[in-house]
Parts: sequence; C-alpha cells; structure tokens
Amino acid sequence: MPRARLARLTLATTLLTLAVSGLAGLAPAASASAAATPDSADRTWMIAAHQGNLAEIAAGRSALQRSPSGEVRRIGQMFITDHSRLDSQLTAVAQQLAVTLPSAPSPAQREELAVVESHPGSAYDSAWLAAQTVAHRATLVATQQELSTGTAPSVLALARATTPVVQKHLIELQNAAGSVRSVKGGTGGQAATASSAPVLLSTVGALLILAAGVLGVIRRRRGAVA
Amino acid sequence: MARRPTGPGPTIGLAVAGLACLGAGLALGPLQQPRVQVPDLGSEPAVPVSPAPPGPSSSPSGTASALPASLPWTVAASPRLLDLPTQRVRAHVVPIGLQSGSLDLPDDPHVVGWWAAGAAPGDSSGSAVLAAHLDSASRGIGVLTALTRVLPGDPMMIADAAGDVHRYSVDSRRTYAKADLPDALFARSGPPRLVLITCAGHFDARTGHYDSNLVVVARPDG
Repeated sequence: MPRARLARLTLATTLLTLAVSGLAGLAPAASASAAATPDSADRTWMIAAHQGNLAEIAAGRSALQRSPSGEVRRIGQMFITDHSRLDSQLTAVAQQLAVTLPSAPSPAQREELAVVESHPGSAYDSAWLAAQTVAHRATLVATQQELSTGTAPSVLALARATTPVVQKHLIELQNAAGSVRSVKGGTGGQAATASSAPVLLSTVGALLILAAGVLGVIRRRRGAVA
Repeated sequence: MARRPTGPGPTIGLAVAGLACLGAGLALGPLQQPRVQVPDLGSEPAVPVSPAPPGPSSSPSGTASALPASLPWTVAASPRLLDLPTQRVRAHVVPIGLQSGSLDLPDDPHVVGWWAAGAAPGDSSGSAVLAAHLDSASRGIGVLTALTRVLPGDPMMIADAAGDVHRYSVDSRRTYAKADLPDALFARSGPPRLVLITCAGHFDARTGHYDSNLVVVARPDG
C-alpha cells in the first residue's frame, strides 16, 4: 500500500531528523573567534537544507508533469523558482566555507517522491501536498535549530533568508489543501451495539401470551370439574 | 356459597397485553440500528473560537510581518505517535489530506491520520486535528474507540518527527451529527489545541457509515 510505504518513509525521516538534532546538540559552544568558520551545526544544516532544496525542486518538477490541479502546478513552479534561488546562495556560501555538499536528494527523499507519484489523479495532489507539508515543516524545524545553535554568520544569514520562504510555502500548501467538510470515520459497525428494548418487549409479550394460554386452560379444566 | 367468577376477563387481558408487547417489539426491532452513544463531557465549550490569532511580534528576517496570520510563528515537526496512557493506547500517526472534502483517513483503524494542512501538535496556534476510523469492515475495531472512554483531565501525548513530546489534557467530549461538525474545529488560528475525531451514533449497514462524529478536544499543558 502506498500509505504504508509513506508511513515507513516518514519514520525514516523521523530517525534522520533525530540524528540531525543529536548532532546539533553535540556541537561545541562557539567562541567569537571561531564564529567565522562553520561548526558542526552549520555544516549539518547546510547539507540538510541543500538536499531539501534539491528534493523540493524535484517535487516541483514532478507536480508540473503529473498534477491535474493548476494550483498544485503553480505551487510546484514556485518551489522550483524559490528553492533554486535559495540553493544557489547556499552553494556559494558552501564553496567559501569549503563545505562539501551532496549532489542529489537523499535516497529517502527520492523514494518518498516515488511513493507520491504512485498515486493516481487527485490522490496524487493530496499525497503531494501532505508530503510537501511534512518536508517543509522538517526544514523549518531544522532551520530554527540552526538559528539557535549555529555560529557562522554567513550560514546564519542563509537560515534567516530561508525561513520566510519556507513559511510562505507552508501557507501555500495549507491553503491549497482546501477545507474539511466531513469526517467519515467508520465503515465496519463492530463498535456499535443495538438497543435491547425490542428484544425485551418481544420476550415479555411472548411470556404474557403464554401465561394467558395457561390460565385459560386451567380455567377450562376447573369449569369442567365444577 | 359464593361462586368463583369464570369469565374470560383476566385471560383476555393478559393475551391482549402480550400481543401488544410482542407486536411492539417485532415492529421496533427492524427500526433499531446499532449505535455508539456516549454522553457529552467537559465543562468548557468543545469549540473555543478566538478570532485573533497570535502573530509574530518581531521577525529576525524583517519579512514575517507580511505573512498571513494563519501561520503559527513557532511550528513543530510532524506528529508521529499518539499516546493515551489512561486507555493504554499508542498509535502511529501519518499525514493525510482530503478526498472530495473528506479527511482521507488511513484504511487501517489502528493508524491515526493527522490533517497535514492544519496545525501540528506543538504549533503555537491553531487546531491540530487527528482522526481515525472507529472501526473497519475488514480490520475490526480501531484505536480511537478509546475516545468513548476518555474523561476530562485525561493526559494525551504526541511525539513528533524531531523527537519532541507535546502534552495535552482532555477538555471536552462532544457528539455532533456529521452535517453539524463545526468548521471551527479545523481552525488554523486561535488557541493551540488538539482535536481528535472519530465516528459515533447510528451505524447504517446499508451505507457502511455512522451518522455522527465523536470529538475530543484537549488543551496543551503548561
């Protein structure tokens, strides 16, 4: 099931995020003299943000090719434009700081997009919007972490520039998802139980009829004896 | 010597009463539908509405003030695990969207869906909505049947993808006819809260659906 695969992937993303958070927590406190060079938190965020940019660009291209919704395609194009711009700024800073960046999204990110693309029609849009929401939240949380623990001014400036863009994307994703009109939360009926009143009434009725019959027989016999 | 009455009065009376009960029982039987019905609980309204969402008071980038107010300034990572310790329930949480305006709930009633377009547990504002099937024709009774047993004050915990745990306490439980489910339950602004939804009421075996929603609202601790 695509949903089951998506659940496994989100679990993998969770573990990755936890690992990233752990690495960030181990970063030594920076002194003012060391602030010009990237520390562990800065490097970790740059790599994660770069792969996030690449994944969002790929997701945008996927939406342009596959989505039946003009709104989703518009957001996909926005992702391509914005994340390309953010990534060109990020790669320039990485070169200055001698930080080596991966050349592609992570295997988990690529597989997650493949899962989204396995949904047909409007289900693709629903899966795409949900997956992108999860990804943008992860980026925002990682960026908040960088802003609180990072030290290199140029990386912190990148993180500050990234935040409003990703926030705007998150709002676009939320608005495109539409409004909830109903929740159809049960299909089996096993949790439901029928009222016992009709059965009780029927039983009492049958007993009364039986009692009337017995009483009638007794009365006839007594009448015959008399 | 007095003669005992031999008329048919008591016998006929019993027979008539019996026929009436039997008839009523047989007539009501087919009209009775299986149902899930629990009393509403909680002293506070299930749907507190705050028209003024808290927005960011300052922005490190200087651009956040232009953002729509619907975005919480502090956002949390996506939820992954729901824990209802008083009910001994722990369930995986997966992101879900909409299909034709309805929440696209996980087929498996042991898995809980998080409405990804709403707030997330831990966001600084808005309703974080979790929902699941009460039961499933193929997979039996689901984890959110626990909502029929929760009481005001019961704790609820949500672990998110970043490893943070968000703690809530149950405020209220309400049953709504499906057509009357308040839009405000899905508000992206207003005070932060956790909203859990499943089904309740009459189950129609012909359509395979319940006619009501059971809604539990919890507020963040601290």
